Amino acid sequence: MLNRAKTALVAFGAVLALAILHFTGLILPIENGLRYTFSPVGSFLSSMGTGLKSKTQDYKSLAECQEHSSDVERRLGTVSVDYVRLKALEEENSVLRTMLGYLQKKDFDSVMARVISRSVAPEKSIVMIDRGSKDGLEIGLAVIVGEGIYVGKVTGIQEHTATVTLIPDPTSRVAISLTGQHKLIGLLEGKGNGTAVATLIPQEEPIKENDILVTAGTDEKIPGDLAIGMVNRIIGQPIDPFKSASIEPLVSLDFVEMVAILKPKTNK
Amino acid sequence: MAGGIFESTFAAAAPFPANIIRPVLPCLVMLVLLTRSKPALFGAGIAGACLDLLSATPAGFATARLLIVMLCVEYLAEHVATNRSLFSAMALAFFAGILNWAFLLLEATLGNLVLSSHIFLEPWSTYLLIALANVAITASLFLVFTLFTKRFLISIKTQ
Repeated sequence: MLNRAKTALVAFGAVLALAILHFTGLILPIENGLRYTFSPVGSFLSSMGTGLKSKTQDYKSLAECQEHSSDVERRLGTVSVDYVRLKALEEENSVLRTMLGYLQKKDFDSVMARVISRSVAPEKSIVMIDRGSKDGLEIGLAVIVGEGIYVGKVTGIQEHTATVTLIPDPTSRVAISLTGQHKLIGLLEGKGNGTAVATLIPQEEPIKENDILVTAGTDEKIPGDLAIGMVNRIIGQPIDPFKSASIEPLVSLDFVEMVAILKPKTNK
Repeated sequence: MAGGIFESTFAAAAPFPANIIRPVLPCLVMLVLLTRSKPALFGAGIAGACLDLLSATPAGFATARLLIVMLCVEYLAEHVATNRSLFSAMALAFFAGILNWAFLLLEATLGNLVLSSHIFLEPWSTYLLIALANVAITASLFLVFTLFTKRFLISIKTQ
């Protein structure tokens, strides 16, 4: 009995000491060192879990596959027309820039990072990555995948790791615009469970289904024209001052393993 | 340590039913049953620290929580489930899972009310499934251990 009481007291003392050291920041170098040491194993296990999830989610019923197929075909028809128009505009733009001797200036560098862990609660969309303040990251930087698809921003920083809040997280907010326009039209808010809604869109804005939304560029550290998602459905009545739109992300955020963080270039 | 890293990385990314495999508590319960209480408490501290360090969202001071759960399990193992059988191992594992959930719930409530910090919980059905998975893992570990140790045999004195 006495032995157990002594053990419990020692355990309690150790926990109290650990808590004090943590909250005063005295063991922060040790915590950062341990995160840095464990992050390769963590990212390997996380990618194993993601790989397992992607394999099991491929098994859908026939009805689901057929519905998905017809939905994709319908969208393909709409998007193809826009694609042809976009290609023509790109070529024209390229010729004009060459003629004017216009130099494209890139204002952002990128840092690649692997996902180490994810939030377990379904209403949260937060991941931890294996880059931190030592790699020049700051809070508020944009996080992208692929060729410039915005997925979230950095919301927490440690020395060798960082926390990224993804678009569907309820605390996520980003200013949005329509493709090709360079004006703020609304705010994208995460709603949890993998969904996001664009809100505060003025009624007169010509937004419709299958439109691609991009970042507006009004945030200091988030560049404009990063693709975010596709409009799924318009919500609201014509008499309302603002309307909303349900947004489908362009990539499946459950399977993201590698991301890039955009850092503003520092002038040397 | 491996269990803590596994729970904070693989379990969060994996789909159902892989995401209910949480090996930390079953391993610690087995350590308690092998009458190695101090290693169990030490292991609880290490696993909890790994959870606290690598979780993307606040893990609710897992170090303290796992230590308290293991102290309770140890008390039950010495005063209630004393026969160190397969069924007592399964019962202790289930109890450990439910107790862990109860403490998480308490931390989430207190954290939101008092400290303004947010601890995000999984659905209650997930925690129930995790407790049942703990039972299955502990039973498997128990059976494996009985192949290599005689610690669980009841010694009968003969005159």
